Amino acid sequence: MPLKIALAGNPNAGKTTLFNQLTGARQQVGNYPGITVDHKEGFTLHNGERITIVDLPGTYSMTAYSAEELVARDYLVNEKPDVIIDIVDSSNLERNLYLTCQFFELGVPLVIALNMIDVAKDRGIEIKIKKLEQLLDVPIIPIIARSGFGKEDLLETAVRTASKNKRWSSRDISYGKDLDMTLTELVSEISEANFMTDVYPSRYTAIKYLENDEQILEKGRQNNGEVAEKLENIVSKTTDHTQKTLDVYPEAIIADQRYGYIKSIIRQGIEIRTFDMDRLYASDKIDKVLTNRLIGPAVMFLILFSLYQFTFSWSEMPVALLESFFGWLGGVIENTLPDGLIKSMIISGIIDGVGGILGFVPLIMFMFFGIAILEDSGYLARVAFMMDRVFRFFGLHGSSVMPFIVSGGIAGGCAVPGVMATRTLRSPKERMATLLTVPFMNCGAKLPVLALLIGAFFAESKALYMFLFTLLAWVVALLAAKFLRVTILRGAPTPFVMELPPYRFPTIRGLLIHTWERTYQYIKKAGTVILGISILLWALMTFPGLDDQRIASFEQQRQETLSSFSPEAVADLQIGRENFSEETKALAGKIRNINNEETETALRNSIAGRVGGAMESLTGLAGFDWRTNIALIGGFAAKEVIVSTLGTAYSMGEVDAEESTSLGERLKNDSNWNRVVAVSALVFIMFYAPCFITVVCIARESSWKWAFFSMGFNTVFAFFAAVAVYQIGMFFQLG
Amino acid sequence: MKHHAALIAVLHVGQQQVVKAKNCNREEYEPMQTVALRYMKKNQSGVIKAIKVNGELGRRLREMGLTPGTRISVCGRAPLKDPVAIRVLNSILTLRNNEAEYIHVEVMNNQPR
Repeated sequence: MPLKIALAGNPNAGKTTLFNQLTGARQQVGNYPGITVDHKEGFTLHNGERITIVDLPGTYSMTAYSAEELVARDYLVNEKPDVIIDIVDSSNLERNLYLTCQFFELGVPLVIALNMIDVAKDRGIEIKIKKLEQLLDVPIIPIIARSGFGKEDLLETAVRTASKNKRWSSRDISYGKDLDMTLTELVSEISEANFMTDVYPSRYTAIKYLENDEQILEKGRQNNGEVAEKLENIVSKTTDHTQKTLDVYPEAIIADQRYGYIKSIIRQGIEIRTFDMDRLYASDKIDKVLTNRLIGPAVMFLILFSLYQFTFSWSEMPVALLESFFGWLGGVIENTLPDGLIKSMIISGIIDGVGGILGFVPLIMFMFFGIAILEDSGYLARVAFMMDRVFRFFGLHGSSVMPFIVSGGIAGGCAVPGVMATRTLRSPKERMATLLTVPFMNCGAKLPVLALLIGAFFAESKALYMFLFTLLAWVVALLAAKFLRVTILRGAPTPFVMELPPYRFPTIRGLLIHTWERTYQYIKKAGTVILGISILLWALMTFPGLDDQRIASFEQQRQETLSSFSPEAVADLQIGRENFSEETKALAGKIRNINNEETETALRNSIAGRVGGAMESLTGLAGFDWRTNIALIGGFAAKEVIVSTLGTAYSMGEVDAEESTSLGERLKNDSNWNRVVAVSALVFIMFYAPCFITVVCIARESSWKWAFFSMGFNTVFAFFAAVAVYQIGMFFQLG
Repeated sequence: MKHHAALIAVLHVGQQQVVKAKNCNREEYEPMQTVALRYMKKNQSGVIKAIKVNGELGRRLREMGLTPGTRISVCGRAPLKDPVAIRVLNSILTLRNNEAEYIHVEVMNNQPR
């Protein structure tokens, strides 16, 4: 059985960096069973032996009040890894040791990795490691996770500690006279009755009862109701006492005492400081500027705008390259495969649909790279800090800004990693509100539609309208969040207590892993949902096809046209030479028109066409005709297929998502379309049901109830908004 | 009573900075003043006297190191005056003003440095 090592520690202590160092590319992200928190597991080799390394979520403590904390604790208790590596930030010793204290209480086999000793040194902090080892009675290895310094030593020590195979026993830390007495009483009751002693050390259970830990209380009641009641009574007596004498609950005393214990240890000459306590570090100096009253917001908008620019301009070339590749591929298929259903399916179904989304990958990747830089450097925390007051007005947290940006708040993104990013929000109500409103952002899939319609109907000021629609997305998302927080997600705001980590230079490896993780989620769609839906839509738009009579009639039209032209022109057309004469061009044009009409009639006759037509009475209120309806139905599965479906519906044959100007022209000239319809369509597309994968993601992060709510609520809202736009717009004849 | 208080004030002057209460009709001179973190000014520092809140907020505050006896100092405030950033135990923490309300701090001095 391979050894199992769990990595634990505060957020920002370098845990992920160490994990990446140890496992490299040999890691995978999964899910803890039954819970939606990410479970990163990988392996490393030590002396030829394979060791499994599990990256637990970063937490400040193991009280079980957030999903991460519960996961960390449950993993330790249920999986009982062979050893825990507790990563401690050397320049932040005291607070980091709070979690360590709780590991002591749980009695887990422990090794402390003292990380960032170089940063500590720069700050003039020297740590007497040997002495600390003695006082804590735990092996401590100094490391620098970024560079890999101390890695081998750490592994060696961890393996050695694990092989000692000590039984888990809770350490005796004093919590003050009153509580210590109560603890003794509780422990004796617990030991006597063997109350959950197979899972938790008895002292640990006692501490949790005093702390009023809901999870343990519940388990206790289920385990042995009688003993549980006895314990709870003892605790409530003590609680009354502490309330009367000290005006606090036992859990507050326990927290204070833990810090007292830590401080008493540190005070024994563990830290040698060369500089004054309040000295401003480089990070603080930078913050003086970046969070300044005036400069702060200005710089923030500048940075976000630059990200926007950087993403669009740098991704242009790769996107164009991918474009031509798919075009070439389509051409190859066109020429090699025999005409027929299979070919049609491959071109219209697969290449169009999937090619559309893959074509945008470079843009998404650059955006995620930019976000990774902001995140890993620590700047995003400053953004959360500055924006909190604004976000709070809408019932959210400053930390909600990240999920919004990832979902496409600036210029493209994806709601899937956006929804997953809400995990960092420790407050359930704010998290749900964010989760449900990030789909309103303009993700990478909506950009082609925006480009198409804005390009066609607002060509004179494309950039401005692009910006306006992005702004609209934010306004709607924030207002929707406010609405949710005032109605179904009503409740007091949850604590915003957030750490501002010092600015750090991101590691390239970290950036690449971060970027790739999110980009991959976007790409995964292509091979799954989009592929499937593209094929399905193709089928719906092809069958049942025209009946023989009509096919014959179109063929007759073609024959008549051919015969009305000279034989040379016909021959030219059939050979398909490069330069056509005027006459041949005219002939080609006429044949093309007949073909288009045939395709369009076939489409109108297909299942999709009939459904689209049937819905016209309702969607007409928003200005949509049957063709638009088909495209929007496709968009339920994935927004990427809207443009290609629209193209097919307007019998343009295969339409490139990028080069949609001809489709744009067609729309502009269509009597059913005008500026008002364009805006109404955009509004609907921006806000209606999230794509399938996002819905699944929402379901996984919360529940299917919420996922369906998201589909329903968004669509209804989008529809009313579109209708409003259309009716008002047409009333004032803005079309 | 007043004489007694004056005597105490004299004895203390040599050892601590005596901070006169704003309202000079107060009977006692307090050597330190207890203020909610919310009302502290930039660069002011002090020692936490008490955390007057329980439940989830109380838990979060305490686990981040905000416990009685801990020294903190105010780094600054966000552009919209809320939240406030403070330095505690070698790290920087941000709190909303209505959360900072519950943290009672004994300030060392009235004037920011």
